[in-house]
Amino acid sequence: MAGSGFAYLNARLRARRNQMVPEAFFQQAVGQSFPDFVRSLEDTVYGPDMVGDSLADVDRAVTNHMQRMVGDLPGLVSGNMREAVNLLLLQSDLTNLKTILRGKAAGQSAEEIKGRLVSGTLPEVLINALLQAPDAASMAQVLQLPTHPLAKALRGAAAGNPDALSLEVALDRDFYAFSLEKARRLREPALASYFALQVDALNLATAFKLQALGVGGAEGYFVPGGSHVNAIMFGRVAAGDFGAMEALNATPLAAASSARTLGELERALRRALLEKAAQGGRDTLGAGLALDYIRRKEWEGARIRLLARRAFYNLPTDAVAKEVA
Amino acid sequence: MAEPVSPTRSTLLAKRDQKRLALQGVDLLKNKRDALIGEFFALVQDSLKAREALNNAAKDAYFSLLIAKAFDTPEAVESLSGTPIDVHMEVESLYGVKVPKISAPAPDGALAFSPIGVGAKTLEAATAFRKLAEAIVAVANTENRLRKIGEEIKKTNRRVNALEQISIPEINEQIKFVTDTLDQRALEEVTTLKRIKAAILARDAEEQGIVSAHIEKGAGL
Repeated sequence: MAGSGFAYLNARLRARRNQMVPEAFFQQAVGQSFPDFVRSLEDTVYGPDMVGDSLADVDRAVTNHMQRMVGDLPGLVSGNMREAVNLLLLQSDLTNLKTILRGKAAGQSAEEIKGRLVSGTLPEVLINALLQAPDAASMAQVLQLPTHPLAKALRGAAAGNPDALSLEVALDRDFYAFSLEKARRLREPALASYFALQVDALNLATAFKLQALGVGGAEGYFVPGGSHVNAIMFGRVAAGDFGAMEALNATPLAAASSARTLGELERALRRALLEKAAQGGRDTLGAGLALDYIRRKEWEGARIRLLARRAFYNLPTDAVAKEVA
Repeated sequence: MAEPVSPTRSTLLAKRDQKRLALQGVDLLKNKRDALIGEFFALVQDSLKAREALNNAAKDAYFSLLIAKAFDTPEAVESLSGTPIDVHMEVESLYGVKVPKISAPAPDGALAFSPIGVGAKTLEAATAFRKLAEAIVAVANTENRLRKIGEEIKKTNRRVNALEQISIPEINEQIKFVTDTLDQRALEEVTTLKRIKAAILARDAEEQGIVSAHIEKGAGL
Protein backbone atom coordinates (compact mmCIF):
# COMPACT_ATOMS: atom_id res chain seq x y z
CA MET A 1 0.00 0.00 0.00
CA ALA A 2 1.37 3.39 -0.94
CA GLY A 3 0.24 5.06 2.29
CA SER A 4 -0.43 8.73 2.83
CA GLY A 5 0.69 9.71 -0.71
CA PHE A 6 -2.84 8.97 -1.86
CA ALA A 7 -4.41 11.14 0.83
CA TYR A 8 -4.63 14.27 -1.34
CA LEU A 9 -5.84 12.37 -4.41
CA ASN A 10 -8.41 10.45 -2.38
CA ALA A 11 -9.71 13.63 -0.76
CA ARG A 12 -10.21 15.13 -4.22
CA LEU A 13 -11.83 11.92 -5.41
CA ARG A 14 -14.28 11.88 -2.51
CA ALA A 15 -15.32 15.41 -3.41
CA ARG A 16 -15.73 14.47 -7.08
CA ARG A 17 -17.61 11.30 -6.19
CA ASN A 18 -20.25 13.42 -4.49
CA GLN A 19 -20.77 15.30 -7.74
CA MET A 20 -21.55 12.20 -9.77
CA VAL A 21 -24.84 12.07 -11.64
CA PRO A 22 -27.50 10.70 -9.25
CA GLU A 23 -29.31 7.43 -9.96
CA ALA A 24 -32.63 9.30 -10.15
CA PHE A 25 -31.38 11.08 -13.30
CA PHE A 26 -30.99 7.77 -15.15
CA GLN A 27 -34.36 6.47 -14.01
CA GLN A 28 -36.03 9.67 -15.17
CA ALA A 29 -34.04 9.91 -18.43
CA VAL A 30 -35.25 6.51 -19.71
CA GLY A 31 -38.61 8.04 -20.71
CA GLN A 32 -37.51 11.56 -21.71
CA SER A 33 -37.51 13.19 -25.14
CA PHE A 34 -34.13 14.31 -26.49
CA PRO A 35 -34.57 18.06 -25.75
CA ASP A 36 -35.73 17.21 -22.20
CA PHE A 37 -32.78 14.85 -21.79
CA VAL A 38 -30.32 17.55 -22.90
CA ARG A 39 -31.92 20.05 -20.49
CA SER A 40 -31.67 17.52 -17.63
CA LEU A 41 -28.04 16.80 -18.51
CA GLU A 42 -27.22 20.50 -18.48
CA ASP A 43 -28.40 20.61 -14.85
CA THR A 44 -25.83 17.96 -13.86
CA VAL A 45 -22.06 18.08 -13.51
CA TYR A 46 -21.91 17.68 -17.33
CA GLY A 47 -23.49 21.12 -17.77
CA PRO A 48 -20.21 23.07 -18.26
CA ASP A 49 -19.14 20.59 -20.95
CA MET A 50 -22.34 20.94 -23.02
CA VAL A 51 -21.81 23.36 -25.88
CA GLY A 52 -24.77 22.46 -28.11
CA ASP A 53 -27.90 20.38 -28.16
CA SER A 54 -27.16 17.66 -30.72
CA LEU A 55 -26.25 14.01 -30.13
CA ALA A 56 -22.65 14.72 -31.20
CA ASP A 57 -22.56 17.51 -28.60
CA VAL A 58 -23.64 15.06 -25.89
CA ASP A 59 -20.88 12.63 -26.98
CA ARG A 60 -18.35 15.46 -26.99
CA ALA A 61 -19.51 16.62 -23.56
CA VAL A 62 -19.05 13.10 -22.15
CA THR A 63 -15.54 12.85 -23.66
CA ASN A 64 -14.53 16.32 -22.44
CA HIS A 65 -16.01 15.71 -19.01
CA MET A 66 -14.11 12.42 -18.68
CA GLN A 67 -10.92 14.15 -19.74
CA ARG A 68 -11.53 16.94 -17.23
CA MET A 69 -12.59 14.78 -14.29
CA VAL A 70 -10.45 11.67 -14.86
CA GLY A 71 -7.62 12.71 -17.20
CA ASP A 72 -6.01 14.93 -14.57
CA LEU A 73 -5.90 12.30 -11.83
CA PRO A 74 -2.34 11.00 -12.54
CA GLY A 75 -1.09 14.60 -12.20
CA LEU A 76 -2.37 14.76 -8.62
CA VAL A 77 0.14 12.12 -7.43
CA SER A 78 3.71 11.20 -8.27
CA GLY A 79 6.06 8.23 -8.49
CA ASN A 80 4.60 4.76 -8.08
CA MET A 81 1.23 6.23 -7.18
CA ARG A 82 1.09 8.02 -10.52
CA GLU A 83 1.98 4.76 -12.24
CA ALA A 84 -0.84 3.03 -10.37
CA VAL A 85 -3.40 5.65 -11.45
CA ASN A 86 -2.00 5.69 -14.98
CA LEU A 87 -2.49 1.95 -15.13
CA LEU A 88 -6.24 2.52 -14.86
CA LEU A 89 -6.22 4.83 -17.87
CA LEU A 90 -4.04 2.74 -20.18
CA GLN A 91 -7.07 1.05 -21.73
CA SER A 92 -7.64 4.21 -23.82
CA ASP A 93 -4.00 4.16 -24.96
CA LEU A 94 -4.40 0.53 -26.00
CA THR A 95 -7.52 1.44 -27.99
CA ASN A 96 -5.59 4.30 -29.64
CA LEU A 97 -2.61 2.09 -30.47
CA LYS A 98 -4.88 -0.45 -32.12
CA THR A 99 -6.70 2.33 -34.00
CA ILE A 100 -3.37 3.62 -35.34
CA LEU A 101 -2.20 0.11 -36.30
CA ARG A 102 -5.52 -0.64 -38.04
CA GLY A 103 -5.57 2.72 -39.78
CA LYS A 104 -2.03 2.25 -41.08
CA ALA A 105 -2.84 -1.28 -42.26
CA ALA A 106 -5.90 0.09 -44.11
CA GLY A 107 -3.83 2.90 -45.67
CA GLN A 108 -5.76 5.71 -43.93
CA SER A 109 -4.28 9.19 -43.66
CA ALA A 110 -2.85 10.47 -40.36
CA GLU A 111 -5.69 13.01 -40.08
CA GLU A 112 -8.30 10.34 -40.64
CA ILE A 113 -6.76 8.13 -37.94
CA LYS A 114 -6.42 11.05 -35.55
CA GLY A 115 -10.15 11.75 -35.81
CA ARG A 116 -10.85 8.31 -34.39
CA LEU A 117 -8.61 8.52 -31.32
CA VAL A 118 -9.99 8.72 -27.79
CA SER A 119 -8.44 10.83 -25.07
CA GLY A 120 -5.78 8.82 -23.26
CA THR A 121 -2.57 9.43 -21.36
CA LEU A 122 -0.37 9.90 -24.45
CA PRO A 123 0.51 13.54 -25.21
CA GLU A 124 -0.29 14.89 -28.68
CA VAL A 125 3.37 15.09 -29.70
CA LEU A 126 3.73 11.36 -29.05
CA ILE A 127 0.52 10.60 -30.93
CA ASN A 128 1.89 12.54 -33.93
CA ALA A 129 5.18 10.61 -33.74
CA LEU A 130 3.22 7.32 -33.63
CA LEU A 131 1.21 8.38 -36.66
CA GLN A 132 4.42 9.10 -38.56
CA ALA A 133 6.10 5.79 -37.58
CA PRO A 134 6.20 3.42 -40.58
CA ASP A 135 5.49 0.14 -38.73
CA ALA A 136 4.65 -1.44 -35.37
CA ALA A 137 8.30 -1.91 -34.39
CA SER A 138 8.98 1.79 -34.98
CA MET A 139 5.88 2.67 -32.95
CA ALA A 140 7.26 0.58 -30.07
CA GLN A 141 10.50 2.54 -30.31
CA VAL A 142 8.61 5.85 -30.20
CA LEU A 143 6.81 4.69 -27.06
CA GLN A 144 10.06 3.37 -25.58
CA LEU A 145 11.55 6.87 -25.43
CA PRO A 146 9.22 8.17 -22.72
CA THR A 147 9.19 4.62 -21.23
CA HIS A 148 5.48 4.15 -21.83
CA PRO A 149 4.20 0.91 -20.25
CA LEU A 150 2.58 -0.18 -23.50
CA ALA A 151 5.95 -0.15 -25.31
CA LYS A 152 6.87 -3.57 -23.88
CA ALA A 153 3.55 -5.04 -24.97
CA LEU A 154 3.85 -3.55 -28.46
CA ARG A 155 7.48 -4.61 -28.88
CA GLY A 156 6.63 -8.16 -27.84
CA ALA A 157 3.58 -8.23 -30.12
CA ALA A 158 5.45 -6.84 -33.13
CA ALA A 159 8.29 -9.39 -32.87
CA GLY A 160 8.39 -11.70 -35.89
CA ASN A 161 6.47 -9.27 -38.11
CA PRO A 162 3.01 -10.84 -37.61
CA ASP A 163 -0.10 -10.02 -39.66
CA ALA A 164 -2.50 -7.30 -38.44
CA LEU A 165 -4.85 -9.66 -36.55
CA SER A 166 -2.04 -11.60 -34.81
CA LEU A 167 -0.43 -8.31 -33.84
CA GLU A 168 -3.68 -7.05 -32.29
CA VAL A 169 -4.31 -10.30 -30.42
CA ALA A 170 -0.73 -10.38 -29.11
CA LEU A 171 -0.98 -6.72 -28.09
CA ASP A 172 -4.24 -7.34 -26.21
CA ARG A 173 -2.87 -10.41 -24.45
CA ASP A 174 0.39 -8.72 -23.50
CA PHE A 175 -1.39 -5.56 -22.38
CA TYR A 176 -3.77 -7.28 -19.96
CA ALA A 177 -1.08 -9.65 -18.66
CA PHE A 178 1.24 -6.68 -18.24
CA SER A 179 -1.37 -4.56 -16.40
CA LEU A 180 -1.97 -7.39 -13.93
CA GLU A 181 1.75 -7.96 -13.39
CA LYS A 182 2.35 -4.22 -12.96
CA ALA A 183 -0.49 -3.88 -10.42
CA ARG A 184 1.02 -6.74 -8.39
CA ARG A 185 4.49 -5.17 -8.61
CA LEU A 186 3.16 -1.82 -7.39
CA ARG A 187 1.84 -3.58 -4.27
CA GLU A 188 -1.66 -2.27 -4.81
CA PRO A 189 -3.89 -5.15 -3.64
CA ALA A 190 -7.13 -3.49 -4.72
CA LEU A 191 -5.76 -2.93 -8.21
CA ALA A 192 -4.16 -6.38 -8.43
CA SER A 193 -7.33 -8.22 -7.44
CA TYR A 194 -9.41 -6.04 -9.77
CA PHE A 195 -7.11 -6.67 -12.74
CA ALA A 196 -7.07 -10.41 -11.96
CA LEU A 197 -10.88 -10.40 -12.05
CA GLN A 198 -10.81 -8.29 -15.21
CA VAL A 199 -8.56 -10.90 -16.87
CA ASP A 200 -11.06 -13.62 -15.84
CA ALA A 201 -13.94 -11.55 -17.21
CA LEU A 202 -12.05 -10.92 -20.43
CA ASN A 203 -11.27 -14.60 -20.88
CA LEU A 204 -14.86 -15.59 -20.24
CA ALA A 205 -16.17 -12.96 -22.67
CA THR A 206 -13.57 -13.93 -25.28
CA ALA A 207 -14.54 -17.61 -24.97
CA PHE A 208 -18.20 -16.68 -25.54
CA LYS A 209 -17.26 -14.52 -28.54
CA LEU A 210 -15.13 -17.30 -30.08
CA GLN A 211 -17.96 -19.77 -29.53
CA ALA A 212 -20.50 -17.40 -31.11
CA LEU A 213 -18.24 -16.68 -34.08
CA GLY A 214 -17.21 -20.32 -34.52
CA VAL A 215 -13.50 -19.48 -34.39
CA GLY A 216 -11.09 -22.35 -33.78
CA GLY A 217 -7.68 -22.28 -32.07
CA ALA A 218 -9.08 -20.73 -28.87
CA GLU A 219 -5.88 -21.20 -26.87
CA GLY A 220 -4.24 -18.37 -28.85
CA TYR A 221 -6.69 -15.89 -27.32
CA PHE A 222 -6.33 -16.86 -23.64
CA VAL A 223 -4.86 -14.15 -21.39
CA PRO A 224 -2.90 -15.73 -18.53
CA GLY A 225 -2.94 -14.45 -14.94
CA GLY A 226 -6.61 -14.70 -13.92
CA SER A 227 -7.71 -16.32 -10.67
CA HIS A 228 -10.87 -18.20 -11.56
CA VAL A 229 -10.88 -18.93 -15.30
CA ASN A 230 -8.08 -21.25 -16.37
CA ALA A 231 -7.07 -22.29 -19.88
CA ILE A 232 -9.05 -25.55 -19.63
CA MET A 233 -12.30 -23.81 -18.68
CA PHE A 234 -11.62 -21.21 -21.39
CA GLY A 235 -11.18 -23.92 -24.01
CA ARG A 236 -14.33 -25.76 -22.90
CA VAL A 237 -16.50 -22.61 -22.96
CA ALA A 238 -15.07 -21.61 -26.34
CA ALA A 239 -16.05 -25.07 -27.59
CA GLY A 240 -19.65 -24.53 -26.38
CA ASP A 241 -19.47 -26.50 -23.11
CA PHE A 242 -21.14 -23.91 -20.82
CA GLY A 243 -21.39 -26.49 -18.02
CA ALA A 244 -17.71 -25.73 -17.34
CA MET A 245 -18.81 -22.38 -15.88
CA GLU A 246 -20.40 -24.12 -12.87
CA ALA A 247 -16.95 -23.95 -11.29
CA LEU A 248 -17.48 -20.18 -11.03
CA ASN A 249 -20.39 -20.55 -8.57
CA ALA A 250 -18.36 -19.77 -5.47
CA THR A 251 -16.42 -16.90 -7.02
CA PRO A 252 -17.13 -13.21 -7.62
CA LEU A 253 -18.15 -14.26 -11.14
CA ALA A 254 -20.99 -16.48 -9.83
CA ALA A 255 -23.64 -14.31 -11.52
CA ALA A 256 -21.99 -14.97 -14.89
CA SER A 257 -22.09 -18.77 -14.50
CA SER A 258 -25.75 -18.97 -15.60
CA ALA A 259 -25.27 -16.70 -18.64
CA ARG A 260 -25.80 -18.42 -21.96
CA THR A 261 -25.63 -15.46 -24.34
CA LEU A 262 -22.94 -12.85 -24.80
CA GLY A 263 -25.36 -10.07 -23.79
CA GLU A 264 -26.30 -11.77 -20.50
CA LEU A 265 -22.66 -12.54 -19.82
CA GLU A 266 -21.56 -8.97 -20.43
CA ARG A 267 -24.21 -7.58 -18.09
CA ALA A 268 -23.21 -10.06 -15.35
CA LEU A 269 -19.49 -9.37 -15.84
CA ARG A 270 -20.07 -5.61 -15.79
CA ARG A 271 -21.90 -5.90 -12.47
CA ALA A 272 -19.16 -8.13 -11.03
CA LEU A 273 -16.39 -5.74 -12.11
CA LEU A 274 -18.24 -2.67 -10.80
CA GLU A 275 -18.78 -4.45 -7.47
CA LYS A 276 -15.11 -5.35 -7.35
CA ALA A 277 -14.13 -1.77 -8.12
CA ALA A 278 -16.56 -0.58 -5.42
CA GLN A 279 -14.76 -2.82 -2.90
CA GLY A 280 -11.61 -0.88 -3.87
CA GLY A 281 -13.49 2.26 -2.82
CA ARG A 282 -12.99 1.16 0.77
CA ASP A 283 -9.20 1.26 0.24
CA THR A 284 -8.80 4.75 1.68
CA LEU A 285 -5.00 4.74 1.63
CA GLY A 286 -4.41 3.14 -1.79
CA ALA A 287 -5.38 3.43 -5.46
CA GLY A 288 -8.67 1.56 -4.84
CA LEU A 289 -10.67 4.77 -4.56
CA ALA A 290 -9.28 5.98 -7.91
CA LEU A 291 -10.16 2.60 -9.42
CA ASP A 292 -13.73 2.81 -8.13
CA TYR A 293 -14.14 6.43 -9.26
CA ILE A 294 -12.72 5.87 -12.77
CA ARG A 295 -14.82 2.76 -13.42
CA ARG A 296 -17.95 4.48 -12.09
CA LYS A 297 -17.31 7.49 -14.30
CA GLU A 298 -16.77 5.24 -17.33
CA TRP A 299 -20.08 3.48 -16.63
CA GLU A 300 -21.78 6.84 -16.05
CA GLY A 301 -20.51 8.08 -19.45
CA ALA A 302 -21.68 4.90 -21.19
CA ARG A 303 -25.17 5.21 -19.63
CA ILE A 304 -25.44 8.87 -20.68
CA ARG A 305 -24.41 8.06 -24.25
CA LEU A 306 -26.90 5.20 -24.35
CA LEU A 307 -29.78 7.25 -22.95
CA ALA A 308 -28.96 10.10 -25.32
CA ARG A 309 -29.24 7.68 -28.24
CA ARG A 310 -32.48 6.25 -26.91
CA ALA A 311 -33.98 9.72 -26.68
CA PHE A 312 -32.54 10.92 -30.01
CA TYR A 313 -33.54 7.90 -32.11
CA ASN A 314 -36.62 7.07 -30.01
CA LEU A 315 -35.31 3.54 -29.38
CA PRO A 316 -37.45 1.00 -27.47
CA THR A 317 -37.33 1.93 -23.78
CA ASP A 318 -37.35 -1.68 -22.56
CA ALA A 319 -34.22 -2.68 -24.47
CA VAL A 320 -32.31 0.36 -23.21
CA ALA A 321 -33.62 0.21 -19.62
CA LYS A 322 -32.31 -3.38 -19.37
CA GLU A 323 -28.84 -2.20 -20.38
CA VAL A 324 -28.60 0.85 -18.12
CA ALA A 325 -30.01 -0.86 -15.03
CA MET B 1 -40.47 6.04 -96.80
CA ALA B 2 -39.55 2.73 -98.35
CA GLU B 3 -35.99 2.23 -99.60
CA PRO B 4 -35.88 2.27 -103.45
CA VAL B 5 -35.44 -1.19 -104.91
CA SER B 6 -34.92 -2.45 -108.43
CA PRO B 7 -38.17 -3.94 -109.65
CA THR B 8 -36.92 -7.35 -110.73
CA ARG B 9 -38.18 -10.82 -110.11
CA SER B 10 -35.07 -11.72 -108.06
CA THR B 11 -35.69 -8.66 -105.85
CA LEU B 12 -39.27 -9.80 -105.39
CA LEU B 13 -38.09 -13.26 -104.32
CA ALA B 14 -35.50 -11.72 -101.97
CA LYS B 15 -38.08 -9.39 -100.44
CA ARG B 16 -40.53 -12.25 -99.93
CA ASP B 17 -37.74 -14.20 -98.12
CA GLN B 18 -37.00 -11.10 -96.09
CA LYS B 19 -40.66 -10.78 -95.09
CA ARG B 20 -40.81 -14.43 -94.04
CA LEU B 21 -37.67 -13.93 -91.94
CA ALA B 22 -39.08 -10.77 -90.37
CA LEU B 23 -42.30 -12.56 -89.42
CA GLN B 24 -40.30 -15.42 -87.92
CA GLY B 25 -38.19 -12.84 -86.02
CA VAL B 26 -41.33 -11.19 -84.65
CA ASP B 27 -42.59 -14.55 -83.40
CA LEU B 28 -39.24 -15.39 -81.82
CA LEU B 29 -38.92 -11.96 -80.21
CA LYS B 30 -42.45 -12.17 -78.85
CA ASN B 31 -41.65 -15.56 -77.32
CA LYS B 32 -38.44 -14.16 -75.84
CA ARG B 33 -40.32 -11.16 -74.42
CA ASP B 34 -42.95 -13.43 -72.84
CA ALA B 35 -40.23 -15.59 -71.28
CA LEU B 36 -38.41 -12.51 -69.97
CA ILE B 37 -41.64 -11.09 -68.53
CA GLY B 38 -42.21 -14.41 -66.73
CA GLU B 39 -38.66 -14.29 -65.35
CA PHE B 40 -39.12 -10.60 -64.42
CA PHE B 41 -42.23 -11.27 -62.33
CA ALA B 42 -40.59 -14.27 -60.64
CA LEU B 43 -37.65 -12.02 -59.73
CA VAL B 44 -39.90 -9.23 -58.46
CA GLN B 45 -40.95 -11.47 -55.56
CA ASP B 46 -37.30 -12.30 -54.76
CA SER B 47 -36.43 -8.65 -55.01
CA LEU B 48 -39.19 -7.59 -52.62
CA LYS B 49 -38.08 -10.26 -50.13
CA ALA B 50 -34.44 -9.15 -50.46
CA ARG B 51 -35.49 -5.49 -49.89
CA GLU B 52 -37.44 -6.44 -46.79
CA ALA B 53 -34.48 -8.48 -45.50
CA LEU B 54 -32.23 -5.49 -46.16
CA ASN B 55 -34.51 -3.14 -44.23
CA ASN B 56 -34.61 -5.53 -41.26
CA ALA B 57 -30.84 -6.09 -41.38
CA ALA B 58 -30.25 -2.32 -41.54
CA LYS B 59 -32.57 -1.74 -38.58
CA ASP B 60 -30.74 -4.40 -36.51
CA ALA B 61 -27.30 -3.23 -37.58
CA TYR B 62 -27.87 0.45 -36.81
CA PHE B 63 -29.53 -0.35 -33.49
CA SER B 64 -26.51 -2.52 -32.55
CA LEU B 65 -24.19 0.27 -33.70
CA LEU B 66 -25.93 2.84 -31.53
CA ILE B 67 -25.68 0.59 -28.49
CA ALA B 68 -22.04 -0.29 -29.28
CA LYS B 69 -21.10 3.37 -29.63
CA ALA B 70 -22.71 4.10 -26.28
CA PHE B 71 -20.82 1.32 -24.48
CA ASP B 72 -17.45 1.33 -26.22
CA THR B 73 -17.24 5.04 -27.23
CA PRO B 74 -17.98 6.21 -30.80
CA GLU B 75 -14.28 6.61 -31.65
CA ALA B 76 -13.32 3.07 -30.59
CA VAL B 77 -16.19 1.56 -32.59
CA GLU B 78 -15.47 3.66 -35.67
CA SER B 79 -11.81 2.62 -35.57
CA LEU B 80 -12.95 -0.95 -36.33
CA SER B 81 -14.70 0.08 -39.54
CA GLY B 82 -13.21 -0.21 -43.00
CA THR B 83 -12.88 -3.99 -43.26
CA PRO B 84 -13.84 -4.72 -46.89
CA ILE B 85 -16.15 -7.58 -47.79
CA ASP B 86 -15.16 -9.76 -50.75
CA VAL B 87 -17.85 -10.62 -53.27
CA HIS B 88 -17.90 -13.21 -56.06
CA MET B 89 -19.17 -11.97 -59.38
CA GLU B 90 -19.96 -13.97 -62.49
CA VAL B 91 -21.97 -13.30 -65.63
CA GLU B 92 -24.88 -15.60 -66.50
CA SER B 93 -26.75 -15.81 -69.76
CA LEU B 94 -30.52 -15.67 -69.33
CA TYR B 95 -32.35 -16.07 -72.69
CA GLY B 96 -29.32 -14.46 -74.27
CA VAL B 97 -29.26 -11.59 -71.75
CA LYS B 98 -25.99 -11.19 -69.86
CA VAL B 99 -26.95 -10.75 -66.20
CA PRO B 100 -24.49 -10.41 -63.31
CA LYS B 101 -24.63 -12.90 -60.44
CA ILE B 102 -23.17 -11.40 -57.26
CA SER B 103 -22.72 -13.41 -54.06
CA ALA B 104 -20.94 -12.86 -50.77
CA PRO B 105 -18.93 -15.87 -49.61
CA ALA B 106 -20.07 -17.44 -46.33
CA PRO B 107 -18.00 -16.20 -43.37
CA ASP B 108 -15.06 -18.55 -42.89
CA GLY B 109 -14.68 -17.73 -39.17
CA ALA B 110 -11.74 -15.43 -39.85
CA LEU B 111 -11.74 -12.41 -37.55
CA ALA B 112 -11.22 -8.85 -38.77
CA PHE B 113 -9.99 -7.67 -35.37
CA SER B 114 -8.95 -9.06 -32.01
CA PRO B 115 -11.98 -10.17 -29.98
CA ILE B 116 -10.16 -9.86 -26.66
CA GLY B 117 -10.74 -6.26 -25.66
CA VAL B 118 -13.71 -5.58 -27.88
CA GLY B 119 -17.10 -5.15 -26.18
CA ALA B 120 -19.88 -7.63 -26.81
CA LYS B 121 -22.05 -4.86 -28.25
CA THR B 122 -19.36 -3.91 -30.75
CA LEU B 123 -18.99 -7.53 -31.78
CA GLU B 124 -22.77 -7.80 -32.15
CA ALA B 125 -22.70 -4.66 -34.29
CA ALA B 126 -19.87 -6.09 -36.43
CA THR B 127 -21.88 -9.31 -36.95
CA ALA B 128 -25.04 -7.32 -37.71
CA PHE B 129 -23.15 -5.20 -40.25
CA ARG B 130 -21.74 -8.33 -41.88
CA LYS B 131 -25.37 -9.52 -42.30
CA LEU B 132 -26.29 -6.08 -43.62
CA ALA B 133 -23.48 -6.27 -46.19
CA GLU B 134 -24.75 -9.70 -47.27
CA ALA B 135 -28.30 -8.30 -47.54
CA ILE B 136 -26.99 -5.42 -49.68
CA VAL B 137 -25.24 -7.92 -51.96
CA ALA B 138 -28.49 -9.95 -52.22
CA VAL B 139 -30.45 -6.80 -53.13
CA ALA B 140 -27.76 -5.74 -55.62
CA ASN B 141 -27.97 -9.20 -57.17
CA THR B 142 -31.76 -9.33 -57.60
CA GLU B 143 -32.24 -5.66 -58.49
CA ASN B 144 -29.41 -5.71 -61.02
CA ARG B 145 -30.89 -8.79 -62.68
CA LEU B 146 -34.30 -7.14 -62.57
CA ARG B 147 -32.95 -3.97 -64.18
CA LYS B 148 -31.08 -5.91 -66.88
CA ILE B 149 -34.14 -8.05 -67.66
CA GLY B 150 -36.37 -4.95 -67.66
CA GLU B 151 -34.03 -3.22 -70.10
CA GLU B 152 -34.00 -6.33 -72.28
CA ILE B 153 -37.82 -6.49 -72.27
CA LYS B 154 -37.95 -2.86 -73.38
CA LYS B 155 -35.34 -3.53 -76.05
CA THR B 156 -37.20 -6.62 -77.29
CA ASN B 157 -40.45 -4.68 -77.34
CA ARG B 158 -38.81 -1.94 -79.37
CA ARG B 159 -37.50 -4.56 -81.82
CA VAL B 160 -40.94 -6.20 -82.15
CA ASN B 161 -42.53 -2.79 -82.73
CA ALA B 162 -39.85 -1.84 -85.24
CA LEU B 163 -40.39 -5.06 -87.16
CA GLU B 164 -44.19 -4.86 -87.01
CA GLN B 165 -44.59 -1.13 -87.56
CA ILE B 166 -41.68 -0.28 -89.84
CA SER B 167 -39.73 -3.16 -91.39
CA ILE B 168 -42.58 -5.46 -92.38
CA PRO B 169 -44.81 -2.65 -93.79
CA GLU B 170 -41.76 -1.37 -95.69
CA ILE B 171 -41.06 -4.80 -97.14
CA ASN B 172 -44.75 -5.13 -98.00
CA GLU B 173 -44.61 -1.80 -99.78
CA GLN B 174 -41.49 -2.85 -101.68
CA ILE B 175 -43.08 -6.16 -102.62
CA LYS B 176 -46.17 -4.30 -103.82
CA PHE B 177 -44.02 -1.88 -105.83
CA VAL B 178 -42.03 -4.69 -107.45
CA THR B 179 -45.19 -6.73 -108.14
CA ASP B 180 -46.98 -3.72 -109.64
CA THR B 181 -44.01 -2.83 -111.79
CA LEU B 182 -43.59 -6.41 -112.98
CA ASP B 183 -47.34 -6.64 -113.76
CA GLN B 184 -47.19 -3.36 -115.64
CA ARG B 185 -44.21 -4.59 -117.65
CA ALA B 186 -45.98 -7.88 -118.41
CA LEU B 187 -49.03 -5.99 -119.63
CA GLU B 188 -46.91 -3.73 -121.81
CA GLU B 189 -45.15 -6.77 -123.19
CA VAL B 190 -48.45 -8.45 -124.08
CA THR B 191 -49.68 -5.29 -125.80
CA THR B 192 -46.47 -4.94 -127.79
CA LEU B 193 -46.63 -8.59 -128.84
CA LYS B 194 -50.24 -8.17 -129.92
CA ARG B 195 -49.34 -5.14 -132.02
CA ILE B 196 -46.43 -7.00 -133.60
CA LYS B 197 -48.71 -9.95 -134.32
CA ALA B 198 -51.31 -7.65 -135.93
CA ALA B 199 -48.64 -5.94 -138.00
CA ILE B 200 -47.34 -9.32 -139.23
CA LEU B 201 -50.87 -10.48 -140.13
CA ALA B 202 -51.56 -7.21 -141.97
CA ARG B 203 -48.35 -7.49 -143.97
CA ASP B 204 -49.10 -11.16 -144.90
CA ALA B 205 -52.64 -10.24 -145.99
CA GLU B 206 -51.44 -7.38 -148.12
CA GLU B 207 -48.93 -9.66 -149.85
CA GLN B 208 -51.65 -12.22 -150.57
CA GLY B 209 -54.26 -9.62 -151.52
CA ILE B 210 -56.67 -10.67 -148.79
CA VAL B 211 -58.92 -8.01 -147.52
CA SER B 212 -60.13 -8.73 -143.98
CA ALA B 213 -62.10 -6.45 -141.78
CA HIS B 214 -60.65 -8.20 -138.73
CA ILE B 215 -57.10 -7.56 -139.96
CA GLU B 216 -57.91 -4.01 -140.92
CA LYS B 217 -59.37 -3.46 -137.50
CA GLY B 218 -56.46 -5.13 -135.75
CA ALA B 219 -53.97 -3.09 -137.77
CA GLY B 220 -55.58 0.02 -136.51
CA LEU B 221 -54.63 -0.79 -132.92
